[in-house]
Amino acid sequence: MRSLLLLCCCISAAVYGQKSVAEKAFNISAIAAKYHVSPRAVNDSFAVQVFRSFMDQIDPYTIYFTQQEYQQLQTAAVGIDEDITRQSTVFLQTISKQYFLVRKKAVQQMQSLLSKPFSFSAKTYFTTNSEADAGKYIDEPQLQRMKAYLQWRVLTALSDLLPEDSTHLSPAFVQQHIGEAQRSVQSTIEKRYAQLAADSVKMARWLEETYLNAIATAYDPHTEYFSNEAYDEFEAGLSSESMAFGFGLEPNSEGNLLITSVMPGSAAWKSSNIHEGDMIIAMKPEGEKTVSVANATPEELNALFERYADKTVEFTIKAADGTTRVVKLKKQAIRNEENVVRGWILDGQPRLGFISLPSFYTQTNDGIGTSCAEDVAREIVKLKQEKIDGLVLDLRFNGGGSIEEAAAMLGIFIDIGPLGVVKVYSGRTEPIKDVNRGTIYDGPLVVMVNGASASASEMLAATLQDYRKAVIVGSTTFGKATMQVVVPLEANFDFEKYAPDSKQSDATKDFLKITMGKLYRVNGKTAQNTGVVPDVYLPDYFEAAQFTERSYVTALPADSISVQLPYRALSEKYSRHTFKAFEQSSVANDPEFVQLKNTVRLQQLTNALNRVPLMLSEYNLWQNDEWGDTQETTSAKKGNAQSPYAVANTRLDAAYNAMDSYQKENDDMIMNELMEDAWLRQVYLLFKNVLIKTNQ
Amino acid sequence: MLTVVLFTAVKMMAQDDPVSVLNKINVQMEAVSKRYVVYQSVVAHSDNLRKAEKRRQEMMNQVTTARQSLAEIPYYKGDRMLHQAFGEYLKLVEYNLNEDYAKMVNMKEIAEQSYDKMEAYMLLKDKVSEKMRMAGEKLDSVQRTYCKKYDIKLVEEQKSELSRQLEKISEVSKYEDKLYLIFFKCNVIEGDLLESLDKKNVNATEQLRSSLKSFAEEGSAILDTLKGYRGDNTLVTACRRSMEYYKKAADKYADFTGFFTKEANFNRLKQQFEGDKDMRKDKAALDKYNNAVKEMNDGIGQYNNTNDYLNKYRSETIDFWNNAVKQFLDRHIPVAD
Repeated sequence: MRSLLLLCCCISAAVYGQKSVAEKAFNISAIAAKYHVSPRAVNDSFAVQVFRSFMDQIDPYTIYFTQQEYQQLQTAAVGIDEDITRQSTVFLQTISKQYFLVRKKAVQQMQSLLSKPFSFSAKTYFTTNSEADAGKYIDEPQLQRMKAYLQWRVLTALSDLLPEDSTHLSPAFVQQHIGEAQRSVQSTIEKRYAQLAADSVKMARWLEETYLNAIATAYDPHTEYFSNEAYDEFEAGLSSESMAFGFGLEPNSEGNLLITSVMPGSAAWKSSNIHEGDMIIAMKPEGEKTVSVANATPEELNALFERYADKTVEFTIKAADGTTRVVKLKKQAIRNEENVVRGWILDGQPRLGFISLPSFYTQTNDGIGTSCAEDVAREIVKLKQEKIDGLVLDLRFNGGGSIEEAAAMLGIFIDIGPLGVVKVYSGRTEPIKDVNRGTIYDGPLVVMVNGASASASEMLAATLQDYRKAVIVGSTTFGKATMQVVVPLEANFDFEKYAPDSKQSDATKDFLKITMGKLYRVNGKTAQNTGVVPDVYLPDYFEAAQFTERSYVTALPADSISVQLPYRALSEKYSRHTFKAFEQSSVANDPEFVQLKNTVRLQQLTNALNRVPLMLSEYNLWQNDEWGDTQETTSAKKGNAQSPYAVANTRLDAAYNAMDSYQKENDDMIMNELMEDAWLRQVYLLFKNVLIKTNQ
Repeated sequence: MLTVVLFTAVKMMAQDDPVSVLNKINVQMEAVSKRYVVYQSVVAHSDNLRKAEKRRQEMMNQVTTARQSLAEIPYYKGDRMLHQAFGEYLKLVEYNLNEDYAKMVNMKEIAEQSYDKMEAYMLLKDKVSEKMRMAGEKLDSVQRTYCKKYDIKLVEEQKSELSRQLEKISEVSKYEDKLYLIFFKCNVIEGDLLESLDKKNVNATEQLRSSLKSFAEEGSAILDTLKGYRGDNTLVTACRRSMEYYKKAADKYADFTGFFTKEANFNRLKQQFEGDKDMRKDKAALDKYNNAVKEMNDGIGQYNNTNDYLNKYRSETIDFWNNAVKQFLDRHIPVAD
C-alpha cells in the first residue's frame, strides 16, 4: 500500500524550506525512537532503506536516472542517517537538483521514442522490481528500459481500446490503432510532466514529503508521514464529487487512481462491490459511450463525475487481485442513516443469515456516522427474528479500521473474556476486553476472509477461531497485526500528555501515523506476517498477487508473547479431518475453483518473473494467464451458477424496499451476486453438509 | 462487611503485670464490640437513618478512644506484641467503618484480577471480609502466644452475652450475603442494561439481556438448593420472586430492541418519503407511508406500555426484596442498646 500522496509535483532547482525538512526528519526519528513499538537504529542500513524507498517513489521503474547517476546517488545516500541526526539535508538537496533535470530529459527522450511506430515482434521484456527489491537499479541501459516501458504502456493502451468482449490483440488491430495508442500514451506523459513543471514550490514540497515518508516507512510499512495537506486528505479521504458515489481516490506511483476508501452508507458501499485497492479503468454513463479513465488525473475524473451528475454510471473496476467487473452506481447524497450494514437471508435448507462488512467504521469524535458493531448487532437481531439456522459474517476485502469496534463486535459472540492483547511502545501489555457480558448470537457461525482481510478483521477472525466460536473460511489473511496512532510531528512530543483533539485545531502542523502497538491473539501468538489461517481453505485470486504484509521489506517480524489469559474456548466441535474432507470433496470438485486454482498458479508463475513480455504473441498469452481465465471464470459463473439457496431480504428491508425503487434495484443486483458467489456457495454447502448436521 | 471479634474470655490466674495489661486491652476491645452490636442493632431494627449514622459515629469515637487508651497502657517488660496486634486491628475496624477499603486491600490488584465492576465489587467484599477474619485470628493467636510466654492460663469460659451477640450478627450477615449476591448480580446487569437502553445501544442491551437471563436462571437454580435461615424462608422467597422478575424482564427487553430496529427502518422510510416529491403525490405510496406511520405509532404505544409494566414490576420487586431483608434482619439480629 505504498502511495504517493500528492500527484501534482513541479520541478525546481531551488529547494524549498530545507531547514524545516531537516527538523521534521529529526522529529520523525525522535518520536519513533520513543514511541514506535519496535524502533530501529538510524544507521547505515536505515539509510539504505530510506534511499530505496525514496527511489521507488520518484523513479519506480528506474527509467529516469542512468546507472551512473543512480550509483552516485547511492553513494551520497550513505549519509542519510547523518542528515537525520545532525538535522541537515545534504542528500535531499543533491537529489532535488538532479531530479528536475532528469525528468526534463526523460520527457524529451520519450517524445522522441514515441514519434516512431513501435513494433512488437522482438522477443523482449519489460522487467520490474519485485516488492523485495523495490528501489534497486535494474541493470539495463536506461534508454532501452525506457523504450520497453513505453511499449508496455502502449500495449496497455491498446488493450483498453479493445471491445469489451475481447482480450486478444491481433496484429491487424495493433496495426490499425498503434498511432492512436502511442499518441494517448504521449499525451498522458506530457500532461503529467506539464503538471510537474508548472509549480516549482509544489514540486519541491512533493520531494520533501516523499523523503520524509521514506524515513517514516523505514520503521515499518504502516508508519507514515502526513503533511498538513495530506492529513486533511487522509481524514476526508474523498473529493466532493467522488464522494457522491461514495469512494475516495488516490493516485498510486504509476499515476493510476486507486479507491482508498468507501464511505459507509454511500452508493458504492451499498453496491457491496467496490473495495479498497480497486482501480477504476472505465466509466459508462447511462445512454453515453464508455470513457476510458485508466490514465485520467483526479481533476479530469472529478470533471467527469460532475458532468454525469444524477446519472447512473457503470464503472469498470479492476480489483487488486486482477479480476475486472462492472458496477452500476447512481450518484446520490449520502444520508446519515442509522444503519448502513445489511443482512440477507440465504433461503433453503438450512436457512442462513448473511452479513457483509467492508470496514470497521466508527463514529467520529464529532458524532458523525454510526458504529459498525451496533449496526451488525441490529442486523443480527433482525436475522434472529427470521429464524435462521446459521450466520455468515463476510469480512472479505475488509481492510480493518477501529479495533474498539472489532472488540465490540466480538462481544456479540463472546460472553465474557479477553479478546486479544496489545503490546505498546513501552513494552507494557494490556488485554483487550469484551465490555458487555452476554452474547447475542450463539449459533453456528462462519467468518469469511481472504488476502485482503486485514488488521481489525484479522483480530476478529483470530479471536473467534481461538474461542472456537466460528469456523473461519477462505484464504490466509493479509497479516497486519499492528496498531497505529496519528500524532503531531513536533519536537519533544509527549504522548502521555497528548490529547488527540488538539490535532484538529493546529492547522500548521504535520503528522506522523506511527505504529505504537502490536496485537496478539488470546493465546499470545500473532497474525503479524503469518495472517489468520482459515479452518476451511478456499482458493483466491489474491494468492497470486504480491499483496501481503510480508511482501513489504520493512514489515515487522512475527513474534509471540507469553500470556495466560482466562479465556474459555468451546470444545472442538468439528475436527480438522472433517474440514479437510469437505475441502477434498466439495471444493476440489467445484469446476470454478479448479479453474481458479489453475489461473492462480499461472499468475504466480508470471508474477514471479516480474516481467511483461513485449512480443505480441507472448503478450497475448501472458494477458490470458494474467486476466483472461479470470474473465472466463466470471462469465462461466454468471451462466452456470446453480445456487443451492435463494437470497431474500429480511421482512423489515422488504417493507422498506416497497417504497424505494432505487434501493430495490440495488438489492436485486446484490442478491444476484450473492447467488453467483462461488465462495459463498461453498460456505453454504459447509453449513448444509457439515456444520448444521454436526450441530443436530 | 464489618465483623468484630472478641478476645477469648480470660480468667485471671495470676495477679501480676502481664495479666493487667491483657485485661486493660480487653476492656477497650469489649467497649468497641459493644458499640458495634448497638450499631448493628439499630441498623436492623430501626428505619431511622440518622440514628444509625449516630451509632456509627459513636462506634468510630469508641475506636478512637480505644486507640488513645492503648497508647496509655504500659508494655509488660517492653513487650509490644499485644499493643501492636490490637492497634492494627483497630486501624482495620476504622477503615472498614469509613469504607476506606483502599487502605485495607490492594485495589489495583483487585482491578487487575476482576473482569468488570461487578466482579471487582464481589472480590472486594471477599477480600475485606478475609482481611477482617485474618486480623481477628491473628489477634487471638497473639493473645495466646502472649499468655503462653508469660505463663497465663487461659480458661475457656461460658460464652458471654456479647460474644453470643457478635456470633449471631456474623451468622445472620453471612446468610444474608449469600442471598444478596444472587440478587446483586441481576440487579447490576439490569442497571447496565437500562443505561444501554437509554442510549438505544442494541448491541449492549441484547448482550446484557442474555446475561440477565442466564444470571436469573443460575440464581433460581441456587435458590432451589438453599434452605431458609433457621426455618425462616423470607429471603429465599423474596429472592426467588426477584429472579422471576429478572427472567420475565430479560424476555420483555427484546421488545425494546425489536422496536429500535423497526424505528430505524421507519426513519429511513420517512427520510426517503419526505425527500421524494413524486412519492408524496403517489396515492399508493402515500397510503403505504401512512400505514407505516400508524404501525410506528402503535409500536410507540406498545413500547410505553411495556416500559410502564416493567417499571412497576421492577419497583415492586425491589421493594419486596428490601422489605424482606428488613424483616429478616429485624427478626434475627439481636436487640441491643
